[in-house]
Amino acid sequence: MLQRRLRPKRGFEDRIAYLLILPYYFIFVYFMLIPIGEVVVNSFTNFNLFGQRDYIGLANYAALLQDEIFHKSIRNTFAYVIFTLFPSMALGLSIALLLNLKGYRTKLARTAVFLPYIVSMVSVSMIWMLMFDPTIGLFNKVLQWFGAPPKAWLMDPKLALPSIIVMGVWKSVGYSMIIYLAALQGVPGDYYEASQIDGANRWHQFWHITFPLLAPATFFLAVTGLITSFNVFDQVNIMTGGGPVNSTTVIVHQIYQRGFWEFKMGYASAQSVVLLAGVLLITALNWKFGGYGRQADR
Amino acid sequence: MKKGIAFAGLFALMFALLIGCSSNGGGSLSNVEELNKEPDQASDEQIVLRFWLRGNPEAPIVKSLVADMKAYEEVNPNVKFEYEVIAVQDVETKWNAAFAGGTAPDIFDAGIVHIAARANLNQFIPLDDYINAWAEKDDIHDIVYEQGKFNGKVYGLGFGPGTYVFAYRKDFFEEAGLDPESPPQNWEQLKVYSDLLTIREGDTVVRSGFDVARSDLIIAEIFAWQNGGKLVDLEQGKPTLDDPAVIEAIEFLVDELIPNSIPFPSMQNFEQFPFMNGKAAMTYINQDTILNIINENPDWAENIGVVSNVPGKVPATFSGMRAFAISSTSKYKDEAWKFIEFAMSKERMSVRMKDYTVPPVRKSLQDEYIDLNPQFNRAFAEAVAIGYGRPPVTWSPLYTKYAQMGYEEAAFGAKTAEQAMKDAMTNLLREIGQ
Repeated sequence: MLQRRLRPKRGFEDRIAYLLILPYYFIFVYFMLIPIGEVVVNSFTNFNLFGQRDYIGLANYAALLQDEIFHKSIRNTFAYVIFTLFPSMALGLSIALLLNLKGYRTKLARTAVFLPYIVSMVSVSMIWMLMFDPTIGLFNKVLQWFGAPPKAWLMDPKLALPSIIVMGVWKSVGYSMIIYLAALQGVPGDYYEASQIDGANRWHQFWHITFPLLAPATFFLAVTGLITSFNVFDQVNIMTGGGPVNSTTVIVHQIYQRGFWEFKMGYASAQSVVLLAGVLLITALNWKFGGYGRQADR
Repeated sequence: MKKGIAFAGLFALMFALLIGCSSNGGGSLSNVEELNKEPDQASDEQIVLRFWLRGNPEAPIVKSLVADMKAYEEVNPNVKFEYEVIAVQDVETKWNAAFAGGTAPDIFDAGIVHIAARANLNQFIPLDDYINAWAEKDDIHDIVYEQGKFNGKVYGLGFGPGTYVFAYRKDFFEEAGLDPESPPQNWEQLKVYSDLLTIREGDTVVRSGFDVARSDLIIAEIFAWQNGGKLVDLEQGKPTLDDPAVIEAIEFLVDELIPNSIPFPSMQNFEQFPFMNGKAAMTYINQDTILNIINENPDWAENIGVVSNVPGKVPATFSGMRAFAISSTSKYKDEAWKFIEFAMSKERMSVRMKDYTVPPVRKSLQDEYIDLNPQFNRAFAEAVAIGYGRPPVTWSPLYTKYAQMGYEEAAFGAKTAEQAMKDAMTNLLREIGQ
């Protein structure tokens, strides 16, 4: 009798488990799946936020094919993703390798590198916007110290997006560093000792031991970084408003402009569906071809 | 016992989520009596009027509205205001989100450019019945009523002209050997003065002869109107962005004035406005901004000269109008109009004029306004008389988007002025279905 009481029935345990995870799924369905479904439905309408919502078929998607500004935003978004994500991962790894030591100076350095990541993007954007100012900005003053001519930075269509990318890399390198630092702690020291006996130098050790064993962390950063970078918006909206001449507009910025500025929520929904499909596709490709990263973790 | 606690906690969490997710369309949940009570009849009860203002919280006109609210509260203890000041670039999106979410305020500080679009969406109510019953309606300039109309009804009652005047630095004029009391009289002189007043270090302009914001449509509109051009044919209700006079005006800006200017995006962004930082000799500038500069730098007052405009073929400048509008979703429309009447009274308008230098829209206060500060106020008053505002059309956000895009493409050399404005016209026509 006592043993029966101490061993509850399996079905009861399962029911408790499902009930305990029910709140999360309730939130997931109510705040994510249903809104996504509504966006997909709205993409086939002329929804304008204020009552008008007539079915118009694929008209929004057809208009997207001719929308040159939207095409530009896609190109800008890809450029931002590629030139922000991979440099920040490479720099984060380099800094992690340098700071993979003990001591309070190392801790201070790690804190200094990580600090930008936790500061609000809005605050960072406002400060960098002033630093990029052509007349009173810090960067042009530095250029003048070296005798170089000042740049228009955010007012130059050729320099505006690279300026935002530089800020993006500066802000995100700390996160990559922290992830890589954690992963480096898991690399057994025996491998390095054995490789030293075999005559391996530091580069050989990095390329044949460290880097392969960091594959799971690299995979994680790539997947999460891709998703985050595709959703870039705050810094573009604050620093340039998508200009000059649409040189910095990105997909989310276009969605925002079309939906909340021009009352074209149906069209903005179609743009959102395109963004969602793109991110899902890239994530799926990442999972398929990033399998080495997941296998190394097992 | 433990299972019971677990179940109770789980159901409490689910219940809390359901309550938190529910919406009552704006305002707070209260007891049944409150929900059933007619708000306008509850004159003894505390009424909270929500008022959304626009622009810079430090702008004199915004401060004057805050003062109006406080003064109204003092004489109407049962009324309290909750106000918010929204940055100009966020206005459309914030309003759209508010109306979509049912959280729109009672009163809006609207621009004339907003009236047609919002009235067309039934978001503002017509004020004609209130105005017709208003004893002081005849003291308001007719143009004020006209500017706030849509389809023959007044949806916005103007209270604060927002004019742009031509300002220049007299000390820079003296340095360049120019008469500090003699600003340029036409575009040809503007170009000559701009050349003389520009300072370069190598190829880089370090002090603009004349400020030209690269991404601010207002400067393009001012020059287009001064050249006799129209960006919108209001009678036909059609855009005319490719009007030859408009293209010619933008070509003048791009070819003659932009090479002498420090690049900056917009005159709304004070931190980056070269004239505000002493890095430009001449500019068009909002009256509020000029007064802000002088307040923060009193020693500049003697060095700043102001005239209404430097005319091209015709005198013209940008003159918007801030207007009071009442939300169609407001539960306190009568109370909102009572505040508007109070703020538009001669007494409050006089306070606004003297303490906050806001030009009055009352005929009876015009001479007194000019006498207060002849150095600046004559220019402001003249600017109101020759000023044009943004076109009051239902597609005003799209007009702003494409007209600005066309000007930007020309200003940054991405396209010729003619190509840029023709493309802008084509795109705008496609978007508005014409």
